[in-house]
Amino acid sequence: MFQGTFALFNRALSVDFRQTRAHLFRFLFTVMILLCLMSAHMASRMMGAAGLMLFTQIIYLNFVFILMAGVSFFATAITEEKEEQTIGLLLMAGVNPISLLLGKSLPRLVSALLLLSVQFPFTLLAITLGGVTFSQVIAVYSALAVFLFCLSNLGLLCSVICARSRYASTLVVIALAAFFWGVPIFHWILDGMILKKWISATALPVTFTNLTLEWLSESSVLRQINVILTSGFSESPWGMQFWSNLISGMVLFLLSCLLFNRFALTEDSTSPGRGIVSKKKNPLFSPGRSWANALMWKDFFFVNGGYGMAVIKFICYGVALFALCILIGYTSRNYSREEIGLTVFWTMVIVLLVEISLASARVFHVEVQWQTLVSTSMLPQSMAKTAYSKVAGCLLGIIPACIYLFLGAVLSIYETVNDVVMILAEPAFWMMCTEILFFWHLTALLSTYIKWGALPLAFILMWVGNMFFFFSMSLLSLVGGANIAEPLSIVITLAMFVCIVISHFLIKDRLIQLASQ
Amino acid sequence: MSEPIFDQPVIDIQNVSHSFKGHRALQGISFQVQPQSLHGFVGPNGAGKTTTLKIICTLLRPQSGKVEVFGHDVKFSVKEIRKRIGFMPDHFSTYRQMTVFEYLDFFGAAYGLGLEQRDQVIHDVLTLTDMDGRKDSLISGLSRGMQQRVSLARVLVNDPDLLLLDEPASGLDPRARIELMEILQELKRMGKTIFISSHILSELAELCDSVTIIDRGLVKYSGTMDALLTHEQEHPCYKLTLESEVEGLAETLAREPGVINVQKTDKARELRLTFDATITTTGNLLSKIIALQGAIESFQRDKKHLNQAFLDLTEQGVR
Repeated sequence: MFQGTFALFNRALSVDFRQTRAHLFRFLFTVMILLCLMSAHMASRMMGAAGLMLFTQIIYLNFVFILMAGVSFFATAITEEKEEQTIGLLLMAGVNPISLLLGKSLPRLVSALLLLSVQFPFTLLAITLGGVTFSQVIAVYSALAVFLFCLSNLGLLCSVICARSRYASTLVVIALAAFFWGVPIFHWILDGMILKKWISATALPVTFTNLTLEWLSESSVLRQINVILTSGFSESPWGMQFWSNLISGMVLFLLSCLLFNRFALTEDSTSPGRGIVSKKKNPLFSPGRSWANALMWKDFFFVNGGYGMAVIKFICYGVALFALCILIGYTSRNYSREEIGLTVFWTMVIVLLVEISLASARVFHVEVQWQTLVSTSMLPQSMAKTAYSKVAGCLLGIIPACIYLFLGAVLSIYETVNDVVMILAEPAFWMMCTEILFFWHLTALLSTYIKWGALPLAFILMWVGNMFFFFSMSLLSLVGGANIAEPLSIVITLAMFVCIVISHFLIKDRLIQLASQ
Repeated sequence: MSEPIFDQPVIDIQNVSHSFKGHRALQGISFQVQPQSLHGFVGPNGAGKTTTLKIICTLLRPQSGKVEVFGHDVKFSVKEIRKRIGFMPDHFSTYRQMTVFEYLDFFGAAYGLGLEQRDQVIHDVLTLTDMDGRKDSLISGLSRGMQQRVSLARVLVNDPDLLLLDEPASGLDPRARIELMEILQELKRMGKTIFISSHILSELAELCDSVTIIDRGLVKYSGTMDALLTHEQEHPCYKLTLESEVEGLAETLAREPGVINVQKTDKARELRLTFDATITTTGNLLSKIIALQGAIESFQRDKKHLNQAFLDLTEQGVR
């Protein structure tokens, strides 16, 4: 029965072994642990419980890696087969859905668990350094392993339901955000409503909701890690979080099996969808006639959803900002117009960062994914012009966020100008801006090389880079005094700026290469 | 159509070599394609056909040798060449989420055509490819044959002088294939030069004026289709079909001076005659046949089939 599982398992492990990037990824992870170790060693001169610090760093590093794996690695287990149109072939070869699901998800789960297990000896060093006990180490790794199991099955379910990897990744992100942010926010709102006596705390639905929320928050791996890392932890590692995550993982796997036949053989994966762009003549949802800059038009409508999506974003952002301002106004005694402006401004800055990051992962990837680069590159224009036109088309999608950003700046014009003038003089501000720009370029470049997960990979690389930077900074500060920080950040900013310029050429060359393949 | 050139080849490839990771895809190939011709490009899998096509259409730069398209070097005049060519790759390189009209409108705009001009061009190419009724259909919803037509329509949007088609008939059903070939013949009549890479040898034989056969990165033959089909025949061979069988005709003809061989085919009324053209002529032979009361239905040069020529010129095995 499980011959198919073993065949897929064997193939996945062989591929993993042959891929250089898999080994590079592990190497990167080891470097991160080494950095944590060195930083703990340095900290041990100044403070006690260096072991706890090392252990905490490693555990949160693992947590971030697991989240990234959930969004990219696990969420594409089945969608990649759908996109390659190989699901049907596997089923024809006698591989039953359960074997297929196991064969696709187990190797990924094993790879991730191996990554957790190989670092175990390093974390034992934390015990030697002091501040952490063996039972804490065991409890934290159990909590992480079971969370990994749950997340891998959540990714699997999303991968079964969704036609494409992008949708599956988005669904995982939404589910994680709802769990880690939604539950506390909902709990807080419920408590507020009870406090204001809008609802009765003893009413059955409220009691039930409260219990559910309590159960959900106790199931959170973050809460469990925090509990374990407190001094004097003496509880059993097999607590509520362990069992709830384990059972949830099993239920999610069962759901994946049940829904497999319903969703797996969808034809939607084989061609790109139009989203909300209408075929019929409609001033809002129809793309109409192509603009003079045709590539810009194409990317605005068929990659970013066009006018219709812009209007939807405008409404959604407006509603979200209104709700946020109401919430803050409700909780604070004095909420002035300027503060509203600043809230809108900084919220939209975050939204813009997210939107552009997502756009940078898609702008070139869609052409590679749907093999359309050949016809696009045959246009009588340079590849650079083609690439910039596409970027311009994607950037039109951020206009709704820019409108609110502008509105926020206008509402708090004095504070915004003051803040801007103040931060413009800071080298760290320029470094941060350059770093963000570099991150977008790195994402765009990576998206032309890998089938999925360019954004999480770029994020991890930037994170590693930043850790390395801060570590070097602290090391140099010990050697050369505090004055070294500013010149170093200027040098790093300039280096990143050069890398950004180089990345333009690299992306152009890569696109030319892809078009000729 | 802009500046037709009649006095120089449309494509001139001289001693071109290209390698990928140590594998020599092209090993000094040379051939020419004449204006307003339909030139077939034939070769087994891995022979270097797609590499050659991509070099001609400026997607790849030749590592050595020279390639000129309309007299422009592909290394230095990319834009000039791209304005005058249309390349249809061997896979569907279409934006399948668009409708047929949106797709053609997009490429029209990308080629710098104005709104009215685009309307006219789209109407023309849709008529030519017989896609008039499907202009509001989603490309993803079309059959393979229809999608191939859309690709061809896209290639024609900029009114190119040279069409480069990589396996345009692969995966199409017989009807779609025949219809595609009819469109190509129509395009040839319109004065386009068509360079077509294909595995469908029988259709190329009927369609093409000239052909290049490539194998393992080497050109095995380049010239007219007629010359290829009579290639390596030392003595002319003719096929005679009679209205009715004539007793003893084969034996009588075999004794004629200059006749080398008379061979009966599977059909009773058919003979294959091989003769030395320096000793006798077709006129002499026909007179003799008529004198022997043979009612001639047809008498024509027995061309080797393109498949046979292809097999003769290329080596066995898949690369």
